[in-house]
Amino acid sequence: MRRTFRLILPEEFDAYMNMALEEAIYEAVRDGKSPPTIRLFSWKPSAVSIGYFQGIRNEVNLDEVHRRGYQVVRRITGGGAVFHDNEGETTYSIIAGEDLFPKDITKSYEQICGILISALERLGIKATFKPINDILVDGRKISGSAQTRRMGVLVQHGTLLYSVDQDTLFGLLNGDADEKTRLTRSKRKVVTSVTEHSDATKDDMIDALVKAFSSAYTVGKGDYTKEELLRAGELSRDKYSTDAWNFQR
Amino acid sequence: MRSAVAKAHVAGGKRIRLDVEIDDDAKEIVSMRITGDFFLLPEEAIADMEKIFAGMSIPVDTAGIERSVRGFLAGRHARLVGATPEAIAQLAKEATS
Repeated sequence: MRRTFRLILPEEFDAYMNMALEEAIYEAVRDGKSPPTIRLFSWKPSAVSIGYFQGIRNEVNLDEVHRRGYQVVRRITGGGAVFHDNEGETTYSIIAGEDLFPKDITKSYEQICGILISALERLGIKATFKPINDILVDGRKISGSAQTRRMGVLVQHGTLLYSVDQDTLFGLLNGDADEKTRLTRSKRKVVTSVTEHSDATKDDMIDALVKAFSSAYTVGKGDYTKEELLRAGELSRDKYSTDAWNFQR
Repeated sequence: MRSAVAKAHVAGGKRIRLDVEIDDDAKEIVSMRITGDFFLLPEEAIADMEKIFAGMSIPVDTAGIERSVRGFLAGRHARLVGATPEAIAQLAKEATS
């Protein structure tokens, strides 16, 4: 397995293509056709992603998602529902041989989240890792990640919040229907974003992420391969945009 | 036939929700769905883990469920993160009581 990471700078895709690219890159890394990869990306239109095990109707206000013209997609990873605001967050993923990371899952979250924490430090923001998979600033969540491992390859992706529209966020997420009121009240206090702690622009945040990943690993800027894009197109059409996948739970 | 739900936030972990179909006449679980923001690697193992509960007698044996889930995870080389066999067993008891 090659140890120099390919770093793909942010591009916008829709929710289905974003998740399809994760799987296409995973397959290419698994098959030795692509190097380990760090990917930064955004979602257009804005979207909600849900964890593999979540009940879509329990977690997502589908009427509100559709009313806004957003998308909803199920991830290949567990974890919780995430609102990917086109303007308000950047998503990262790291797809590489499992042997590059601790075997212990929580420790591997801590290692990779440590890179995001160092990116936040570059913006003057002190953040801490909270097991299992969160990053907090002043006790409030600024980043969440989700990981899977298949056939010797680790796939971890997560969001880093740049700015949060709390009303939109909690209007889209049910947090399990009968707990909605309680969660809506409490989550307003437990979520934060870069703009609450820094004057950094979103480009500054992305630059900090690039520098942090470049410090942690040997990286070279790269792009998607033709094969990855073609495979992602298939997966987007045949898997991630289908009700069979998204409404399986 | 009736449906029941039980859910919990595992201490230091994640949320789990069990949706259970119960046959009161036969006093057994017909099916169970386990959802939440926990992690299970490999993810596809969840469907087989849910099958453990089909046909299980009510009242459920929580210690037996724990053993069954642990045995399944070990045999499937699966890792459950943010949830525990104990929590699943307790929720199964709660949903079927």
